[in-house]
Amino acid sequence: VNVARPLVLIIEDDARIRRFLRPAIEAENFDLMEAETGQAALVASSDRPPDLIVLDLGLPDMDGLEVTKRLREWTKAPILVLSARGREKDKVAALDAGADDYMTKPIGVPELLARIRAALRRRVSVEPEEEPSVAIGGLKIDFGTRHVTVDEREARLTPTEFKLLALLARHPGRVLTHSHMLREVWGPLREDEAHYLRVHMANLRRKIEVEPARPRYLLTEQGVGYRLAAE
Amino acid sequence: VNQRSGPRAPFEFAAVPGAGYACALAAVAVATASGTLLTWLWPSFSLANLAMLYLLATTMVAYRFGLRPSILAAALGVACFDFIFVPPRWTFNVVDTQYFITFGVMLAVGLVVGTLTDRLRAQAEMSRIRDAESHRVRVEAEMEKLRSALLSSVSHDLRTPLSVISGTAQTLLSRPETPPESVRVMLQGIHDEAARLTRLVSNLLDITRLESGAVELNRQWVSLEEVIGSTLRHLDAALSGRHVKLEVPANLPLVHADGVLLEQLLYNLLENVVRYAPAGSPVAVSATRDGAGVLVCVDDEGPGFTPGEEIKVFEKFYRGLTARSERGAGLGLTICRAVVAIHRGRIRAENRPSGGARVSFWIPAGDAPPPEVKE
Repeated sequence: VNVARPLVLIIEDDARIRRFLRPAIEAENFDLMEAETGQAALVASSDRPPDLIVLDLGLPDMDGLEVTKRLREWTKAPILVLSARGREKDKVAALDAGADDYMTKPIGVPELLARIRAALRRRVSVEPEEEPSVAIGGLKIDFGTRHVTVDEREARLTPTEFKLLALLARHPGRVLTHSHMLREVWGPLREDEAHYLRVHMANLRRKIEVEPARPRYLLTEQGVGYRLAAE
Repeated sequence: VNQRSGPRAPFEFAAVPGAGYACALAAVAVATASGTLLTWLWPSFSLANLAMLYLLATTMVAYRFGLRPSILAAALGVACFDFIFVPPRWTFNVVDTQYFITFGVMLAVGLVVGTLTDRLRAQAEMSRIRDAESHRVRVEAEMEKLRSALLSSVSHDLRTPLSVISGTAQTLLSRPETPPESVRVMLQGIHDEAARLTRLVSNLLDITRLESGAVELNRQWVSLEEVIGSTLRHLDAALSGRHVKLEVPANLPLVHADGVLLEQLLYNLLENVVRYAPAGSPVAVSATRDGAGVLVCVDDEGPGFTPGEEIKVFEKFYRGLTARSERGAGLGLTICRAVVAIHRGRIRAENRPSGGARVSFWIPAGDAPPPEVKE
């Protein structure tokens, strides 16, 4: 990873959108590579591996989901997908196929830049999997002793609640889809057990959050999944 | 549409074809039978009074069924009267010629009354048609007025930001020497108007999608606590400076619903609080179990609704008169109503007794409650 000047690949077929993204991204001191089609993106990225990929799911030549899968066959670079409003199923599919984050169009430039920076930070920081503990604001999680404190106060979690929190804490700031979390914590579940996640997350919020209906750490991405606040 | 029918035709029996002629036959038969009975009981019963019976039968038929059946009744009556009662009886021969006057009067009465009835009926029919026509014209005129009001409202809302954006951009392009501070202000203007336009267009698209039934519900077990949490997060900046009071009990049931649409619903309600209640005034959001569903209330301490507005606020393009800041497109609550409707829920707007507005919605929990969750 080139920490000084990371290479960002933008896969977007609309030239007008690339035109305003280009100067904004270059002003952030990133190197920029552009592709108009999925095919061109796959060729370009194998020539020169990007550090981060911004992918519009509505490409003319290829399904955005297919592009995500093909990229994931060989690169671990964060993939940020852009999709239209109301297409939560597309977002979930892209995240399950290996995308790291999503944004809903029309995209705000400052927010896109913030997401790119956050994704690159996650990439260059030490892999959280190797950390013995994580601290986010007043929330401290010790993976070894399974000890969780909020503002110095101990939170007594059930084994399932700890598994859910640990899963989110291994990827702070990242959206984890419902199906991904269900699979990781419970293994294969029956269709009529999919609400387990909502119920256990509600219990977890009651133990971690000061105001469970306005959470500070355990954030809901409606229709998609959950995210642990990054800082 | 309220289908209003005009005044009914006065003579309903006429609707059955042949009914008039059948009744003419029956009326004459009844007159003949009563005449026979009367002359048998009272042998001195005068022929002039017998004629009256036939006259009555003819008049009634004429009044009820109009001209043609009344002619039948009159002719038949004359024939029966002549054959049965006028001497010499049981022949059509007439001894006294003055009976021809009786026959003439019976026929004339039948014709006159029958003609009057026909005319009356035609007039009633005409006025019914005229009424229906004028009602239709009135409804169409109202619809047209509404359509053009909507169109002018939408085109104004679309055009104003567009003219600001293109005008400002033209100024910036033609005056490269504009001082940086002014450039900044102008760019901010472009940005704000574009944001307004974006919101309007997405609202228009949403209401079109919802009303055309093109929305595919993505139903899952949804926690309203999570809907409230994620909505508040998305409105964090707009709600800054306001105390948000939350009442969400731990035992709130999950609802089988489209969480993204519910978030949009709550977002629109809270956006209205930002728009209508004074800056810095508090807002309360509560969720409670209510029957077979969950009731969510959003209470503000703004000016509330003016009388009669509680229903109108849900209409397309209706805008409150008391907007504090920039007024919206008048689609927010219409979208809310559509979202509630496709979930088979309810929504209502009202003033709270202690002041301020309350908009509440109820969403059914779903058909089959989810099984108990075990650790």
